[in-house]
This record gives sequence, structure tokens and C-alpha cells, in this order.
Amino acid sequence: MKSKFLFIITSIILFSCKEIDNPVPQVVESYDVIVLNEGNFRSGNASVSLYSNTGKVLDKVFQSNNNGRPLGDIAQSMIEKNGKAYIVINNSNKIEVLDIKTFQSVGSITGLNSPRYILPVGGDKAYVSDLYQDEIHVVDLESLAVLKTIETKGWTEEMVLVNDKAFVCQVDSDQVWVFDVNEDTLMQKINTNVSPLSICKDINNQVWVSCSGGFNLGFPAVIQINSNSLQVEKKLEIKDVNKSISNLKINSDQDELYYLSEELYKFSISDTSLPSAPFISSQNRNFYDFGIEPVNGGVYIADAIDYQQSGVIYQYNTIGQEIGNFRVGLIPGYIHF
Amino acid sequence: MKSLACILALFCCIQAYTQQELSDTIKIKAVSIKSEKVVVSNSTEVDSAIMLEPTNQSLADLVSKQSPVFVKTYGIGSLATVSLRGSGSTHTNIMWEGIQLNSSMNGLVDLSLFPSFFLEEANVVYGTSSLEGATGGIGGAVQMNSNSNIPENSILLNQQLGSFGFYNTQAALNYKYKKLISKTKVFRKTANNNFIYNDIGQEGFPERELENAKLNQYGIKQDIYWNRNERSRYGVQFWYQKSDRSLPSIFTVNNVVENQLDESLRVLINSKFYFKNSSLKLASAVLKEQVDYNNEVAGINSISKGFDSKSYIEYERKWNPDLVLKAKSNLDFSRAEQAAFDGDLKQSRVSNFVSLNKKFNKGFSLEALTRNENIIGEESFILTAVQLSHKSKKYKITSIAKWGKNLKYPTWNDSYWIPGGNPNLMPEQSSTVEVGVQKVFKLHKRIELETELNLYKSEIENYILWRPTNLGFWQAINLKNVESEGVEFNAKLKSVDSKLKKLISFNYSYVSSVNGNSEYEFDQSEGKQLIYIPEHQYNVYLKLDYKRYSFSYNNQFVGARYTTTDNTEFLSYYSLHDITFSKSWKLKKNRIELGFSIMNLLDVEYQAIQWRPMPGINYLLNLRYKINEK
Repeated sequence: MKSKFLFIITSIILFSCKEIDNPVPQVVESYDVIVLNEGNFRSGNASVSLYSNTGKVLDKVFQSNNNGRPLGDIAQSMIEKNGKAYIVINNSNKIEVLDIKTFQSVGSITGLNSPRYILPVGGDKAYVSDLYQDEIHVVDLESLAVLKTIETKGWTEEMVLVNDKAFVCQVDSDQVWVFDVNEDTLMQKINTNVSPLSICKDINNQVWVSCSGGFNLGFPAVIQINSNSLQVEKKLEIKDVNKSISNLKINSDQDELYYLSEELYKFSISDTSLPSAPFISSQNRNFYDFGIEPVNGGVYIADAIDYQQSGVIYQYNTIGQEIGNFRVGLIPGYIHF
Repeated sequence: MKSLACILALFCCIQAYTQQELSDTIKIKAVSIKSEKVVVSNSTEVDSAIMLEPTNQSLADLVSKQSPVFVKTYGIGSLATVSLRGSGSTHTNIMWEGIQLNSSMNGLVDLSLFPSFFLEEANVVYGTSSLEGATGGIGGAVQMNSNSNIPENSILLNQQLGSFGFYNTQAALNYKYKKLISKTKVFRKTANNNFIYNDIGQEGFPERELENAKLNQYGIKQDIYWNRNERSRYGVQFWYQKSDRSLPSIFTVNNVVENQLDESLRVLINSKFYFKNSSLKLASAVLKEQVDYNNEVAGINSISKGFDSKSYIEYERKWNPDLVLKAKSNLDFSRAEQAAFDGDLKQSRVSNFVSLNKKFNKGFSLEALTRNENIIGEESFILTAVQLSHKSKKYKITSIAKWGKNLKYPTWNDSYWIPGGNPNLMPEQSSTVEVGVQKVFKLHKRIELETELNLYKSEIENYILWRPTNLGFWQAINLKNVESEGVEFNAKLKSVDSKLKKLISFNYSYVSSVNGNSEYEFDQSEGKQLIYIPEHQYNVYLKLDYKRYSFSYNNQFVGARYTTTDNTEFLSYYSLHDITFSKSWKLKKNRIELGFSIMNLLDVEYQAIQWRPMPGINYLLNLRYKINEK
């Protein structure tokens, strides 16, 4: 009886004494897609997943190839330039710079507040938007230094560059602000609907902005802005404050726009109203973000599921048929091709 | 009798005031819950010797080290919340003298803000047993009470010096004049908490000193009792406390500077009357809480103000030793101010509790209880529970079987926080069944072993979770059904001989608390353990007193905790060891005691919360001087 009791106690203790293994470096061969997994706020569990068209997935590439060091808190967005990946780590207040082949860190841009997106504006200069600070940071992508700041107001989000003009979503101000990237000065403020979050440009250099509508504060909308006159050309609204629009993106031909409103919608830049039916229905999936393949136009949709487990990327072809899926990290967001 | 009339008048005044507020109450969709229910006290009492241990600074330390309860702590002096039986941190009621202290706004109580020096009795009540105090304690309740001991006139002075700039000065004065008793306690605690840790979030894992972790707390507690005669007792308790804390960042966050100021004022008036076969207790409390949170980087300065007035009448009657009736009526009014709400929020609740305990032949007894709660202008519900127990005198075994239901109403943050609050949330409902056995072994003339084993199974429906959206804010939803089952085992061995006193206690719990459903196609969380709920944990406490020497040892083991709902990521287990040596000297009627404690003796590097640094080995010197000790 005594030995049985001891066996049970020992088993319990051994079972509960789980320890984390040290990560083993992963060899990065070839890959086709980079997925940034945001991770949970204040949990420091952001990560990078790599996917190759052969179906191979590498998870936690940054952590495993940098001696176990975590990537940080909320991997928000990234750009690729000169063989380096610049990953914006929102709540870790930095931009981690990696060798795009090995995913080993080559440095970081620090001294930021709460960075969100990065926009190269010419040469090595880039703008970095910020969640809290009333400023855009101007950074040098080679020296990794913060060169200066440009005054803004409140939360700045996605940005797009058109003819030396940077169009910046001013989320709190319900405006898009336009900056001269040569002078780093404000040129104009353009009124939008509530909470402009996403922005892109089309084949005609017209700027498209999606406004979420906030938390039941106004109608969500997609707005077209003339990049020359800086006037609103078109406003396509959903007349329901309980709906929202987010993650506006454009295909590589720059003539079709996609956005999320629980499901994935698609429309042409020449349309005069938003589509009533989704391009891809979410059904019982939790669409969080997506990316459009630049070569064949397929769509990769990120499913955050319950935001606390490994997410899934679904692959759809150009007519919206699912052709595959693969597991990635926690809260997959930004997808880079 | 005049006093009784005064208290009844006060109760009525509060009721009248509450009624005036009804028209302002926010209405949400009514949901009525009908069920039968519950249980009787199944609890772990924290030993009084343990409460005096200098290493136990707060209620959080007491319950985590001395009961099979998981306390989720963010670090020294930082937020510490409790999880009972695999439930969430809002599912544990924190009760003070029968008054519920959980915030109306977020449902939480930070146990690190309750200094153990102010506490006289503390116990943990499991499952539906908590219904006797209030609804909402799906996991159970932690209760704090004053003891009824009548102190001698005495003064206690206590000074603690510890690692990382820790200073804690405490003083207590007990004064008795005829039928009047006064207990006064004050404390002031400061700490830098600037311990060294390996920053595994940075290249090369450099050693760093923890920044922005200072703590400054002070408080006063004044209890006055008037024992008018053998049949009536009156009391007033006043508790004021202020805490100013800097909140350190996690490894992966570099420049966040956060600060939180907590201020609380609690005033309680109570009285108890004893009649031939019955007793009557009346209590009325005013609670005022303010939390100022400041985040310099985010430019956030959030002020939350809560005001509550809570009263109850409790009546107990014995018709004979075999039939006992308990009845309790509560009347609560709550108000909150927070910029994230659309105006001030107000709510009134009336609830009534009745239990009947009947003993039958051959050691069997049956208890049935019911609690009706009416959230005025919103909804009402009835909860019930039953307990069957059997006491074998021959084998000294008590067996208990219980079944009951409980309900947790959404907090104001859940319902009305802008953005993300959801006024259409359903209350969380639980159903629990449990069986338990208690046995006392008389091992020797002076050695007694008390043991208790409980097994339980419960289901929680409409579990409320906050989750992010792709619009930049989080939203509250009824997401999951949770199924919990587990085992609790407690043992306490007491041995007293002429020179050596021994006390050994052991608490173990196994908790399987799993998600019962999956909402999404690829959801892999179904049937998996909830995050931050350890399956296994135990604690051991040993205390030896020999003449004027004392030694105590505490081991706290917390098993691995998953950090993802698909259970693919987890934090490693940790096992912490604390020891304390002390010696006391008797100086006529006074006593001086010098103690030295070592915490985290084995210098274990661990994370209680993901990427949050925790202190390694640290020390505490304790000097206690008691004037006029009996």
C-alpha cells in the first residue's frame, strides 16, 4: 500500500515537472511566405513562421536562430529591403532587423514609442507610425538610427507613398494626413470616416483608405482620394454602425481591392458601391488578416481562432476556392510574400 | 435594544437610498436561472501560527502557501489574483466580515493589497459552499474575519528589513477598558524591488536590475467592540489603506513606465445578539475604492472610482440540536465612475439566503439551502444546493456529498466598457457535485493528524472572455463552456510535548479545468487545460518550537501552466523554499523576538507569468517587541 502511494506521488510530481526545452537553431533554406504571428499583448510571444510552396513550415524561426531570445511583444508589420527584414515589434518599442536568409538579428531600431508600420520613403529613409506618440519617427534603415520626428496627433497607422507624398492614417483624428517626404512637412489633412486604419494605392496612383467606423461610432467606409488634388473622389459606405471594415489591401495588378468585414470582400477600383456578398465566406473561421500573392493572385487568410492558440493560414485560389492550409504561430497577422 | 433599533434604522436608510437609485439602473436583457443547489462549509482555515510568519506579507502569500489554491502573481507587490478549482480570477469571492469586496467594475480583488498583519482569521471556502456569503464564487471564496478573542492590553512593534530595499514597520495596540475593546493596527511598507535578473529578452541575456518596481504602502485598521452584556456585542471597524506601486515591464518590453495608486476606505458597523435558541447579526458597510492607473508611454491616465454600501441581517435558530435554520438578507448598492463608461453606473441588489440543517439517526444529516438574488431593474435568479453528510463516531470519519449551482453576473467592465463591453452578455452559470471525507487520526497521546480529501466536478456555462479584434480593441463575449474536476487533499499534523511543538501541514490539489467546446473549425482547445491553471500544486509547512527557539519551513510547488489554449506552450514548474529561524526573549511581561528568513532558498529562476522576472534568493530580518504579553 505504501509503495503504491509513493508510486502515485512520484508519478504526479514527475508529470507536473515539465520543463521548457532550449530551442534548436533551424536551417532556413528556401521559403515563399513570411507570416508574422503577433502574439498576445504583454505576453512577449510574437514569432515568425516561414512557409515554402512545398508545404514545409518553420515556426519560431527568430527565437530558434537567435539563441532562444524572444522576438518581442506584438509583431505588427514588416518590410523587406536590401536583404534585410525590418519587423516592427509594437509593444517592445523597436524594429528588429534580420538577415532575410538566416533570420539572425543584425540589429534593431530602438528609441521608438509604440511603432506600428514602416514606410520607405526614398533612399535609406523610412517613416514609422506610432500608436501613442503624437509623432512619426523618421529612421535610417542602414544606420538604424532615428533621424528625427514629425509632429502628428494621436494614433498613426498604415501609410502609403505616392509621388513623394506620404499618406498617413490618423486613426484618432478621423483624417488622412499628407506629408512631403522630401521636406518631412505636413501638406494637408483630408477628412475621412471614423478610424481610418488601412491604406493603399491603385494603378492610377489613387489612394484608397478603409475606415472601421470605430466602436459603433460611425459608418465604416472605403474612401478614394485623388493623390494629386488631395480631394476625396469616392466614398463607399456600409450604412450600419454595427459593421466594420478593416485590412484594406490591393492585388499586384493594383486594380482590385480586398477588405475584411468578418468575411473577405473584393471589389474593383471602378465599382461605385461595396459588394453585398463576400468573396470568401468565413463560416466558422475567425479571419484576422490576409495577404494577396503577387504572382498568381491567390489569397492567404490568417485565422487567429481564439487568439490563444496556434493560428491557421488558409490558401485560396483566384476564384476563392480553398486549396490548402497550414498551422503557424499565435495570432497570425501580417503576411509577406 | 436602542442599538438594535439604530442599526435597523441604518439598514432601512440604505435600503431607501438604494431604492431611489433604481430609475438610473442600466437595464439589460433579463435571464432567469432556475436551479436547485448547494452545500455547507468545506474550507481550509489558515493556521494562526502561519499568519504570523514574517515571510507571509499579504493574503496572497497566505492562501498560496497554505491552501491548495493557485495565486497568479505578477511579482513582488504586484497584482495577485486567486484561482480556485480551475475557475477564473473573477470567480472567487473575497469576503470581509461577511461583506463581499469584489470590484463591481472588474470583479477582481488584488490579494497583494491585504496585509496579513491586518488579518486575524482567514480561510478558503470551496465551491458552492461560498453561496452562504454571496453568489458569484463559482470557484469558492476567501474569507477574512476578526476573531472574537478579547485581548489583554498590549502593544506590538514590528520592524522588518529585507532585500531589495524592503522596509515594513508595523504597530498594534490592544486596549481594553471595562466592556470596551479597541484594536489598532498601522503599517508602512516600502520596497525598491530592484532585484537582479537575467534579461532573456535581450541579446546575450545580460544581467539587469529590475526597474520601475517601487512600492509604497501604508494603512490603518481600527476595530472597536462593545460587549454590552453576554447577549449583545457591537462593533465598528475602520480600514484605510493606500498603495503606490510602479509596475515593472516584462522582459520583451523596454520603455513602459506604469504606475498604479490604490486607495481604499472600508467602514463596517456590526452587532450580534444572542437569544435563548437563536442569534441575530446585523452588519452594514461602506466601501470606497479608487484606482489611478498611469502609463506615461501610452499617455493613459485612467481613474476608476467605486462606491458600495452593503448591509445584511443574519438570523440563526436552533429548535433543538438536530434542526438549525439560517437566514440572511443582503442589500447592496454599488456605484462606479470611470471615463470608459457612458456615465456613472449604479446597481442595487437584494438577496435572501435560507438554509435548513437537519440531523437524522445514525449520524446522517441533510442540509438544503437556497439563495434568491434580485438585481433590481435587471433580473433575478434562484440558486440552491443540498448536502448530505454522515459522521461515524466509531471510525471518526465524516463523509460529505454536495450538489449545487452558482452564478456569476457579468461585471460592469464586461458589459459597459467602451470600447469592447458587451451589454448582451449572459451570466456565467456553474453546476458542481463533490464528495469529501474527513478523518482525524490520533497517532499518539499528543499527536493528532487531521486529513481531508475532496473530489469535485463542475461545469461552467457562458464563460466570459475578453479577446482581441482586428479593429484595435478587445471585446467581451460568452465563449466557452468549461469543465473542471479535481482532487484536494489536506493534512495537518500537530504534536505537542513538554518542550517541542510540531506542526506540519500539507495541501495538494489536482485540477483538470478544460474547455468544453470549440467555436471555430480549426480550434484545438476543446478538452485542453485552461491557460494559467496548474494541474498540480502542493505546499508543505513545517514549524518547530523548542523552548524559545522557532524554525519554520515552507515549500510551494506549482506545476507547469499552459500559456496557449491548444496546450502547445507552457511555463515550467517551480518549487520555492522559504525558511525562518527565530528566537525570543522574555523580559518580565514583555517579549522580544528576532527572526531571520530566507526566501527562495535555492535561488530558483522562474516565471509565474510569461516573461515576467521574479526574484531569486532574498532575505528578511524581523524584530518584534511585544509589551505586556500574557
